[in-house]
Amino acid sequence: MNSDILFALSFTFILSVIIYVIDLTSSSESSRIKPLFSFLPGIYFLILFLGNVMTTLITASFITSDETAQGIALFQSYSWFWYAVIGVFCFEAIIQNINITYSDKGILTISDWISKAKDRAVAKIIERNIEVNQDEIQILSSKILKLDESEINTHILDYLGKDRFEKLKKLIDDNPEIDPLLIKSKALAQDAFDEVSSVLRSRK
Amino acid sequence: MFNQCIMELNKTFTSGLQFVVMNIVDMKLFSLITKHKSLRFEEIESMIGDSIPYGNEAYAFKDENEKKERIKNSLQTLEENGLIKKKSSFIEDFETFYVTAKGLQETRKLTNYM
Repeated sequence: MNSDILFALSFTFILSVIIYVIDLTSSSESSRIKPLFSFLPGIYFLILFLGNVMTTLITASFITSDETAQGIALFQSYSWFWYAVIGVFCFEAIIQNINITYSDKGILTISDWISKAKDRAVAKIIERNIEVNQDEIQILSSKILKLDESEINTHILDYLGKDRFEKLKKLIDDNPEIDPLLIKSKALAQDAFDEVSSVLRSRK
Repeated sequence: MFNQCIMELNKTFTSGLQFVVMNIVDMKLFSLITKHKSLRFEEIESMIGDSIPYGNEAYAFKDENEKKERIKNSLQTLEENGLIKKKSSFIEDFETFYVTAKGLQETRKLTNYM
C-alpha cells in the first residue's frame, strides 16, 4: 500500500470521526461526547467508517487509473487529501443510490442499513443523555437542599415563576408523604440548572 | 425457496409503511416528543395546552383533568407501540418520555412517505 493511500485512509478516519460527532450530537440534540462512545453508536461509526474507506479507495483507484483525472492540476499535489475528501463527501451521494436487488426485488439498500444503525445509535444516546442529566440533577439537588427553605422558595419564584411555585405548593399539599424541600430542590435543579449552579458557584 | 427467503429479508429490512393508527392527540404528542427527543410530563402538558385549542371539536378537552387523562392515555398507547419510552418518577410531572429507535424509524418512514 503506498503512502498516499495510507495518508488518505488516516484522513478519512479523522473526517469520519468529525462527521459522526456532528451528525449524532445534532440528531440526538445532545452536547455530550461521552455517550457517543458506547456499543450501538460504535456500530454506526463502524458502518460509516467502512463506507467512507470504500469510497476513498474507489476514488483513489479512479484518479490513479484515469489519465484525464491524473491530468487535473488539483490532483498533482497532496493527492491523499483529495482521495479522502472526495471519498467521504461522495459517500452520502453513493449510499442514496446503491440498492442491492434480486429478481427485480430490492433486498436491502445501503441507506436503509445506515438509517437503522443511526436510529439505534441516536436512541441510545438520548437514553444515556437522560440518565446523565438525572445524575447531574440529583447532585445539584442535594447541594440545593443545604440552602434555607426561604432561599429555595425565593429562587423558585425568581427563576421558575409564581405559577410554577403555586403548582409545586399544590403538589406538596396533595402528597403529604413527600419531602417538600426535596421536591422543591429537584424542581429547581431541573428547570433552572445553570442559574442555580451559578448561585452555588458564587458561594465558594 | 431462495426467493421466499429474499422476500422475508425484504419484508424485515425494507418493509413498507407500518404506521400505528393514532388519534390526533397521539400524533401531536409523538411529534412533540420526536422533535424535542425527550420531554417531561409537565412540559408535554404545557405544550399541548399551547398548541391544541380547547375550542376545537376534534380534540376539545372539557377541563384540565380530562386533558391530563387523554395525555396519559396517549402516552401509554405510544409506549405500548414501542415508539416512546418512559423514565419513571414518583412525581408524575417529573416523568420523562423519550423517543425510541422504532419511533425514529417511523418518523423517517412518515417523512419519506410525505
